[in-house]
Amino acid sequence: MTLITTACDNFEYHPYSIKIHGQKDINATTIEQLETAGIKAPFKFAFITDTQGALSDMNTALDLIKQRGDIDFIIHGGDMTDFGLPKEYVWARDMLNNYGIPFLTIIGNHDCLGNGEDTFKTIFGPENFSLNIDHVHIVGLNTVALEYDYSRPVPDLDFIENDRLEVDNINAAHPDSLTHTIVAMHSRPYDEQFNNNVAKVFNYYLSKYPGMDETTYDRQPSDLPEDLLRCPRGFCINGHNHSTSISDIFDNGILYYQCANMTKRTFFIFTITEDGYEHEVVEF
Amino acid sequence: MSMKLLNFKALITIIALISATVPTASARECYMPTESCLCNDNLRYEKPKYQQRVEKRRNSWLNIMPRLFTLQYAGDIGMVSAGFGWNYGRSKQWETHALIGFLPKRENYSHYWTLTLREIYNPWRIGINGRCDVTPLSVSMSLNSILHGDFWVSEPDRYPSGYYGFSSRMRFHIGLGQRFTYLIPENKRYLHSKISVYYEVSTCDLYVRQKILDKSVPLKDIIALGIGIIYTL
Repeated sequence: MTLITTACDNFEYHPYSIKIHGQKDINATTIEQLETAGIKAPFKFAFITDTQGALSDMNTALDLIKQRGDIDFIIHGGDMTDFGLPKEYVWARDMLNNYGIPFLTIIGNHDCLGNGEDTFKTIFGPENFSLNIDHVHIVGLNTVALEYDYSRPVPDLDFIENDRLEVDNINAAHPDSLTHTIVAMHSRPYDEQFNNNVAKVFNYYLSKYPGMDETTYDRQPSDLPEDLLRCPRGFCINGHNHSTSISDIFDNGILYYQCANMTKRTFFIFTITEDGYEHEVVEF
Repeated sequence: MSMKLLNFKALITIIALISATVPTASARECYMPTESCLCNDNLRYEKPKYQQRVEKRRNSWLNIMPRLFTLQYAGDIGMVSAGFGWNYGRSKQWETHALIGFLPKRENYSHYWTLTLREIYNPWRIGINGRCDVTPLSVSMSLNSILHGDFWVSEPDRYPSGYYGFSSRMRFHIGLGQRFTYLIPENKRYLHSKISVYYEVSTCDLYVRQKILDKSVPLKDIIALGIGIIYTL
């Protein structure tokens, strides 16, 4: 029977058109799970990015994350696949699922290749999403504008605006319930993938989120270089450039924590505390 | 202006080429009375040069007439693919197939059409009491193209050159298979002399690359099965 099922699965129609079995709409499931779990600060999450076929390296990273035992969830920063193939998505998804740690996935430029964006939406759901954990608002954004030849609003400023209005409504109803914002994206402003015509507007919109403005400048992580010490408690995380860096792109304190790709065997751990956060680079 | 002129020139060239290769109606009329030509063979009558040329051209057109028809299910080139082909070589061990495939709409995907060009080599053919034969090994190489605007052969201009360095549209497949052929008895033939059923296990360039880069991908995941039927004239 197993043999027959396996054989039937192998009647593949096309590498870019397979029947996707298993879990779908994962971001929505994870968001519900995390929002209802009653997680309180301090909590920790891991940021891994740019798998692009390096499944063994991702496996090792996930082993290390699992071994720590203190990670509440994982954010994958995009480029989970190399060619946007549905099988690549399924391999990575099944590996992440194996560890039983909730994970959120951002769309990357490689994920859009061919009909990859359709596969992403099937497996993970909408490319822009947000959630609230304790006092932290987390936003996941599609920022790979070049993939759409700038023909679609990427980054979607309407989404950001509506999302921020919702945050404001929550804060109006329950003052100071959301005080930090974390924005995760694949490519960051002034990358070749980003729609740089709106880079400054994007920054303006992000700066309106709670914890992204100057009033929170005193809540910086302790391990930052001298010139980056004045920063708000909110921050951005990105992948795409296959290197690790911390940049204050707009010189306004909003830091972009950029993580290297999987083959460079690096990931980030963020510890979100009551009034700030700590950042840890894990090289393995 | 120069562009228009260029198109016009191309059109004239194409018309000239077609008219040079396709036998015309008048040519066919002249060619018809072949019987008389045959009778006159004894008298060492040589057909007029014009007639010889027409006959040669006609035969060359007959040579490129497809001699086999294929229908395939799955196998990474479409849900259903249909096409025609040619067999050639000393024992017709080589085959070239051209197929058009259809992929139905699935979840978020739209439906797709694909085109496949396939070369098959059947090194051995084992006859069983003259009524059927078995091909213990079929080796195939296919080039598949998915006909949809989301897929490109070379990267669109918006990307810096060499940004991805691959084609999302063209897939190269290699496959191994086996074939069973039934030889239709002469008195029962209608349009075909043989019917073959086959299966093929194949993989494509991107899957092989993944397997080479990372051995952790299970072999069964990068293998696609296809089954099909071939009618041979």
